[in-house]
Amino acid sequence: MAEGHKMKVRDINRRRLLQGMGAAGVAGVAGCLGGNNDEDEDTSSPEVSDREEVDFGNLQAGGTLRGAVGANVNSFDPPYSTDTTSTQAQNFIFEQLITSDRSGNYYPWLAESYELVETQDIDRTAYADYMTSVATDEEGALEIDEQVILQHPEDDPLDSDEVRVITPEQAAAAVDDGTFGMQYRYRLREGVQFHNGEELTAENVTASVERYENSDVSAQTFDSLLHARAVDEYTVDLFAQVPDAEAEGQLPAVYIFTTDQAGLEDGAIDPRQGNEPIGTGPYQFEDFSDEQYYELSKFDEYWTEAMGVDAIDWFDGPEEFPDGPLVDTIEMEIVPDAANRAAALRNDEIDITTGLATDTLDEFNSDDGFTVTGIETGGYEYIQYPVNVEPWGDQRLRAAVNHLVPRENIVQNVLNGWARPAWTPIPELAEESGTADPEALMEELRPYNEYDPERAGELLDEVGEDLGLEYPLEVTLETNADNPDRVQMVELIAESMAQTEYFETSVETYEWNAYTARVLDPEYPDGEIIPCIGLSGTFNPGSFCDALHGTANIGQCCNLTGISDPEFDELVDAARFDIAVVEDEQLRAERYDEIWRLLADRRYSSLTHFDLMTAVSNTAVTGFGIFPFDEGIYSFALYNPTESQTMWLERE
Amino acid sequence: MSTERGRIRITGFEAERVEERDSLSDWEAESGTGTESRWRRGLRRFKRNRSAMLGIAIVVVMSLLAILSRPITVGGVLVQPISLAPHAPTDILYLQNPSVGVYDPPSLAYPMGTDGSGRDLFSRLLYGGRFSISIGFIVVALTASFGAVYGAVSGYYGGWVDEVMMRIVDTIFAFPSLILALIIVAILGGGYWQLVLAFTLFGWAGYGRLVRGEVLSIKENEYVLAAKALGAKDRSVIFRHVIPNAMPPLLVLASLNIGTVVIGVAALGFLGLGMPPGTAEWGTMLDATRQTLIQGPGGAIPWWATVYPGLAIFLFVMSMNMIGDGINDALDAQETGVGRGGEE
Repeated sequence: MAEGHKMKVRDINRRRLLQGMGAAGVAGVAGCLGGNNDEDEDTSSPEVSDREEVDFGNLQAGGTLRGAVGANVNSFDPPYSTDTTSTQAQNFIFEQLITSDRSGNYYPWLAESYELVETQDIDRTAYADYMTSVATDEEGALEIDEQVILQHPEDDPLDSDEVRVITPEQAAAAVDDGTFGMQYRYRLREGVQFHNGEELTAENVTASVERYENSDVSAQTFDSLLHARAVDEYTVDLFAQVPDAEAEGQLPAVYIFTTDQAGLEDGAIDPRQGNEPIGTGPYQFEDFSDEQYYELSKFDEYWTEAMGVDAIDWFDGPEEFPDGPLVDTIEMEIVPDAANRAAALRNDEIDITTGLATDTLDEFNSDDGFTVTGIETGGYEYIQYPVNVEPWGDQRLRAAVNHLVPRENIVQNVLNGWARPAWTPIPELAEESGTADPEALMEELRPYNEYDPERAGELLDEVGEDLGLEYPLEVTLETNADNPDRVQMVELIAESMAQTEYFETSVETYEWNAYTARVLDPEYPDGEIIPCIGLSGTFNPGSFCDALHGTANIGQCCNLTGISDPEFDELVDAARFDIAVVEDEQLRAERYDEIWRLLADRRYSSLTHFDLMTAVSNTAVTGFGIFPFDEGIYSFALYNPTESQTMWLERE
Repeated sequence: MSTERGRIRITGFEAERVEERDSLSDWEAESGTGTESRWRRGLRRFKRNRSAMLGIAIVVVMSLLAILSRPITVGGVLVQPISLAPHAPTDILYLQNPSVGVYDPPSLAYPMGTDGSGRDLFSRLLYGGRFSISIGFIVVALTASFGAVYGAVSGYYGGWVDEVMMRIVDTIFAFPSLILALIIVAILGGGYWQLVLAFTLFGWAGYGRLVRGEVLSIKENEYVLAAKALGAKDRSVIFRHVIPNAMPPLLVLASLNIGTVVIGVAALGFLGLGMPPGTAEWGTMLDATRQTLIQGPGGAIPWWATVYPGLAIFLFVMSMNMIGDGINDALDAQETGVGRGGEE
């Protein structure tokens, strides 16, 4: 069975590993919070705005937006692609039931409205009566073809020959009997058309959910989703397995396909497979040349234009706000090298691009012919300590190394100020449900994360004496080679450790695919290695701790060094899958605060900085506003009524 | 007298008669300077070759600077205490001294400026010679020795041995040498000895082909026939008579190849496949600054970060080529494009 392997592939996708700028085109580079080379980052204020203020009275329709992206579109099939560049392209074409603004507030989109119908206080063992036993092989992979929606929490596929699981059919049976954690009801808009003229109905939603079964993103879809059910032609119910504080955003995170395309084979919604992607989105697919470019044109029957933006009941923007996107056609060149994208922008070959090297951003920012737009994103980078290899099991040793991570230097010298030091483990966009008081958290945790070689030395002497260690300790730091900023950062940390004379460090780099395979190898935690990798979090605060430290994520993304802390696992579960936190956001924030304190104390990993997402555009681009996640950057900027965001082209 | 049985006894050469007769020519042991050996003559000519001597001087100076740049300890014992470079090549200066930035232009304190990680370029440049130069010499020593033996065996025995051995060489020549090195480094990963292996594993083929060609003509010479007639074993014929006479072209090729290997190491470094990132190897240093070559509007390229490492590679390789040419002229080796693809 290939299931074991599939699990791996899926789970890497689950939290979008960040390769960094350039090569994978994932949110790698950042914008500017800090003053340039300003030594005191507290005095800094953003030099770039996250949005250009414009007067909708002057808007101009038409024209071609020419952009450049840093990586190829690996697939136009949403459940079968694993990188943000592909998702970016798909977001022009496909839509979901809901949309969000830049702060993580959700709004009905293809659904006219939605409501939480019912929440039941159950846990996953409540499904035991519906479960069937499935055999496992030696590696713990399940021998089953259907999607495993959930597995009995007490069964371990590695220990026993059989585990109890729920498949889609049994999930339906459980829902029939009223066994589910949450029920959300979505009322679809009537008259929404796909690019081929088909009308959107509830059947499209249920068929689309089925398309996600056993796909590359099934793990992230079915960690919460239990079942989708059409109630009538325009009403659909989505059920969650257990009470889930993230259900509102997580359950409907499914792109809606036409009936025909929902039934296509795995990965077949792709021009390379002979199927042009068809969605309800504002742009329709025109042309794609592998590794070269893709082209889209405006969809004339787009539903917001047909209905008028005022038909959206939550819309409260200005009267002049247009009914649909203004740009007629989009041409995206695929240019992996950041320097080449910068050159293309300067030569007026493109209007906009992202992911430029930080040292060129300052120059673009100070030039009148270009605009740099930036916002703090959910992307972050971290190093993780080999907790299972002595003497790294001692948390004082890890705390000492954490004091040797020069976060301010990383931001100022390596990233030229275009990032923010990670004094706390959550970025601004996740603070709302991630901490009760961001300032108090900062005050409490920052001393743990200051660069302080003296304190590090004291701790190391203490550990050395207690454990009888002989310094210097030899340790290797690793990262992927294709992200120059990250390599430089790791070199800096290694040098900072080596300068104390307590460590003898070396740096190894690997090509991206080789590196991800390496760090996810089950043997990897046995080496005396400190890996460094980037990860793209979400609005969910859990994405900044669970992926790194959860026992379930060992050998998957991204508990690389085999951290297993039952206390932490319990806290994380209680901060999301618990009816108390579903109902009380304040309680949820307090529970996350507890997690941050625990992690600061046990110090399994060190977050270095939070990326700032930047886009550089020429003067033709008017009204650009930047979305904090790479995958939504263009679709948000072109048209999103949640923040009255639209852009147009003013060519001289 | 049974021990003398069967021996030929020659008579009629009375020693006194020979010694007392008039000499046939006016040659006397002391009168001439003797035949000057080929090597001595070569050395004399080489010394007169100014560009070659300049090359030697540059290579010696660069090697000395590399050796003396930082102290060397072997097994915990300090064997070289001198430290010409003001900073360790890995020292990130802004950690200690916040006034130092990345890509600081050349100044009195940092004569070649700082690189993208805030390290002193001058120190790195001096130290970097250790990698490039030593890899160049080690690789050439290994490949030339093996290639010489391989070519000599192939040429000397001829026939099917030659046929098989030369087809192997042809196979190696079918691939560009840098691609082969790339494959090896991709498999083994970067690092000093990996690089040595990458250039050694297939790098001997050129020498093999060259020496074989020389041997084909050398083995027809009378002194080889004589040695064979005297019953010398193949091994001693090859090592005592054949290889020494094939040396001049081999030396020329070897000296030129040091430059080629240094360029190759730098090329792999530039592609990010040589030494680990941050190593002070010249090509790796260039790779680290590659992105700076295209700047944003109004941005100035930090020329020192690319020019100095590039200059170091250029100087060394140029000097090696001048030395190679000097050897060629000195030994009349008439090195004749035996390399592949017009490389030499």
